[in-house]
Amino acid sequence: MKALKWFTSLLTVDDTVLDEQFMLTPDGGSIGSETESSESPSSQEPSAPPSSSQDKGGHPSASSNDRQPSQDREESEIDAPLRPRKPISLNQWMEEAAKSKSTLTSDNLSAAQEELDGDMERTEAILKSVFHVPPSVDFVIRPFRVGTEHPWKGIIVFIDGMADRTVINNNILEPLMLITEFIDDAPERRMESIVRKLIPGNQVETKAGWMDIINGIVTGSTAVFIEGCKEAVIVETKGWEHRSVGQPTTEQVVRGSHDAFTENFRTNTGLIRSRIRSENLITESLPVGKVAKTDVAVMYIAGLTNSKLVAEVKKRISLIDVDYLENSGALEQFLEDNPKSMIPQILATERPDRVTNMLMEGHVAVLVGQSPFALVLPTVLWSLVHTPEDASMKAFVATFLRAIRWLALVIALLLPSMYVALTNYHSEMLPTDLMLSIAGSRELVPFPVIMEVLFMEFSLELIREAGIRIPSVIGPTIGIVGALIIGQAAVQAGLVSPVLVIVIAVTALASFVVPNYSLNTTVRVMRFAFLLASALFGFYGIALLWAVMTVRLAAQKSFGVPYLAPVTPPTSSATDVFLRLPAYTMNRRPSFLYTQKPERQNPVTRQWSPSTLKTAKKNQQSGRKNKQ
Amino acid sequence: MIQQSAQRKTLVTSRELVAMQIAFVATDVFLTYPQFTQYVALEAAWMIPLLSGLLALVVFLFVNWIIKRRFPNMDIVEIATSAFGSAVGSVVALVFSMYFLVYMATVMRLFMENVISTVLPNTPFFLVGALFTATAAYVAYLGFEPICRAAYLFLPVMLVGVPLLCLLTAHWWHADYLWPLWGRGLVPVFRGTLLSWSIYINVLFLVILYPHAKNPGMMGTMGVTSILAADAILTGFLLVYSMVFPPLEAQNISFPFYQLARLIYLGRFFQRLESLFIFLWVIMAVVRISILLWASVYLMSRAFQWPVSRPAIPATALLGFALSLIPPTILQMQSFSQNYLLPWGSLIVFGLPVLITVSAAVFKRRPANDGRGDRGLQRA
Repeated sequence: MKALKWFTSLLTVDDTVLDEQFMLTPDGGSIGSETESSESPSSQEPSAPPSSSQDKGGHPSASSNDRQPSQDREESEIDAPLRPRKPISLNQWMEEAAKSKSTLTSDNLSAAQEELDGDMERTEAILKSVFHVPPSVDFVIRPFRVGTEHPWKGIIVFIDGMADRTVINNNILEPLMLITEFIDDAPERRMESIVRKLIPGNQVETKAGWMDIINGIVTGSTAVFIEGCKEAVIVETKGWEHRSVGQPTTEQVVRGSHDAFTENFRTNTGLIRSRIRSENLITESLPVGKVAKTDVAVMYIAGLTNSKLVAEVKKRISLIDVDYLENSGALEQFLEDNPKSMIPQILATERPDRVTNMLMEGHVAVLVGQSPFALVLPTVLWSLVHTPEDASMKAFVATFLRAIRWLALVIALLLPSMYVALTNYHSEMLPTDLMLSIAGSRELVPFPVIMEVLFMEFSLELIREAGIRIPSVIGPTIGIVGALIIGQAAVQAGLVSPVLVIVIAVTALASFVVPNYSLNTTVRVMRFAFLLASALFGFYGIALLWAVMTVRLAAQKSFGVPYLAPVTPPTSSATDVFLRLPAYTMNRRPSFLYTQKPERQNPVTRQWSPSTLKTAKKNQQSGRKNKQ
Repeated sequence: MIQQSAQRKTLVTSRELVAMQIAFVATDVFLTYPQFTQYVALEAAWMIPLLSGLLALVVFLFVNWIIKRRFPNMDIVEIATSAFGSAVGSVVALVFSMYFLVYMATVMRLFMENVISTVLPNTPFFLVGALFTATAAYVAYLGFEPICRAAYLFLPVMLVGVPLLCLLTAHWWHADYLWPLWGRGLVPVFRGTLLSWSIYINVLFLVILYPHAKNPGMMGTMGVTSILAADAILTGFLLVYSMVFPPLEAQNISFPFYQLARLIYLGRFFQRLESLFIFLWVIMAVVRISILLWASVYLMSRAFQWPVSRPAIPATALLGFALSLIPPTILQMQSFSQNYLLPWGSLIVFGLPVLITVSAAVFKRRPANDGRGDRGLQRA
């Protein structure tokens, strides 16, 4: 027999190895109603009613477990015309069709089902249908009885992992189940008594609409339904795990606060509120997302921030029509004026003190749920080179450090391309000794300069990317290995010249001086453009590209504010750009923000000090002029 | 959408407009203007820009006085239109536009030759020119606001760079090269002044563009400041240039700025900085060409009543580039510039504005609407 089987197999073409386990095809609807779209009565296929093996909610029942959903779909897409189907009666066909139509999701709640009706069985059925239970397993629908003498039916619903179980047990279930014998109100008054007397939660709302209830549940609250009540109680029980407040990772400072935003939305708003203790600090919530909502908060100071700016920000956010908003980086792209531009038009920061300072200047902050970066807008170029530390330092020191940063920015952008242009096109500029030194070091290098530079730059980018992704345990090691390989071995192998190693090292060092991460990445990309320009046309190419870049920046706007303001267009508040003046002289807010209160402090400060009295008087005079 | 964008009025601050004009006129130090003045007046070459500036100032103040009294907030094309009808207004706009176009082609060729002869001698001429034209076209495409802002940003670099260059050649200065004081004589000096005072083209820019300033009432201040500042830069540079090179040699140098930069030698590690100054003159050249290109297209749109001007920029840039290639050699282009463009240009730069404002003031009654006819401005 074995020999026969073996012989038969030789004559059989077995191509099962080519069968795919899964093939992604265009979706015909949710899993719960996947057969509905392809086999619904409206699809003009009388022979394809909903399968009798489906449950009330339209999900495959236990009897259909031998068919996986993906296989189902594959068959419906590919083999449906050939699949034999058992004939059913017309009545049965219509019954099945009606059942499949009754499948509820949050998208198709009908007008009749928008409000609660107090029927617990029906409420439970709707909840299970809306939250896809089963197959969804983390939605907890817990029926219980309220009271002990004349118990009423009740249901609580929450999401396991998002809600705090202790709060639910101690502050919702325990009072309702154990200490409610004194309640004997009419159905329409039950909920009021429960909210006032029995649920000790600090944030409680009553909602009658299903959409409000669903939104409450998916954001971590617990919904309480009581028999006969046409409202549900939404108890604030948010309690998911999150990272605690830690140190900033990309914007570290020596002198200044050391806390950073986290992935918790309320913690982030709280960090700002703890600094600006004012009733005028407004936090408006504008959730974004159709399928899954993401919390987005707009923060500004009432009576200070330009109301047109606030309205524009809110308008842009409210017009975002997406299924899901991933993080603040995605929101930034939806909001900025020119998303095709590489230069950041919105300041993303992880520092609450930075946000606080800019809010007090008249900017608007936008926080996104689960994102440890806040967006501050509008933003001008100069802000990207400032650090929160500037405000903590003496004016001269802060100015010096700003100058260093600007120098670093130029070096990070231009040094490699200048090196290429100098060695290829303008070697007469170099002193003879230096030129001979460079020529000598390049004597054994077989590549043209641009290849050398690109090789080194590419290696450096590799190390950078690797340094971010490599586990922190071996991260420092890879840095040392990379530096050794590139710096030492590459020179010894004659691949690059020692002078170039110095050039690239200084460039890398300078790029880390740029305080804003987005600007830093832009500089990294632009550096290659300048390299190309210099390799092709020397200083001429660099100058042309520089001109284009500058004019492009001059044309750029961030929420209606020219990107190079207040330098150009020039305004009176241009002192806090390259220079940092003493705190007692910086009386005015940035004029390009057109704040409701242009002055941020009394123009006459330190008038008790003879050394600054002159400045105080000058400030007073300039303040009067500005008011006029 | 076109209608919406057409209605947006471009506005720049007075300081930006002044910076643009200074940058525009002062960039003549990078071109052949110093050579021309040396040729005309020898030791007295530095007097030509000085006198030209003063003459331009007088004419400007006169035109400004008429506009302020009779045609407030109206540009020169609107004045012509309101006094003589839209046909004359269109012709005036077209004449200015063509002048800017030819001027652009000339400057473009001179800058391209400058690049070829100084820093990229082995690069194909066409490639250098095409890159330069494309850059200027892109900048002009971005609009008047960004150009003025860029000029405002770059002007300090120029205001530092040119004096610095002059100072770095201090050890080459020979005060005796400035004598005899009157050079070839008073007549050549005045002749040179009248032949080249059209380099103060900022007067024409101002009477066309001043309503784009946020405060058009400061037209007088803007004009005086820009003329005097440009005058100071040109005169100062020519003084230094005259002190460095002997007069007879100076009139043979096509690009004096570059030659001055080549002379810098302050020890072994600070020498031959001409390449560093490439940044300065290339960037200022881009600003200058893009202003001319934008202004030419803007006036064309005014002449032909186009709702928008931007789509014509690439074609006009190409046209300018093609025109710049017509003279076979740089000498012919120089000859065209010095024999035709500069001398006859003064008729367009100063003559036409004076003629239009005076005749409009004579023939036209005082406007009842206080001169707020800024429809043309909205096409920017």
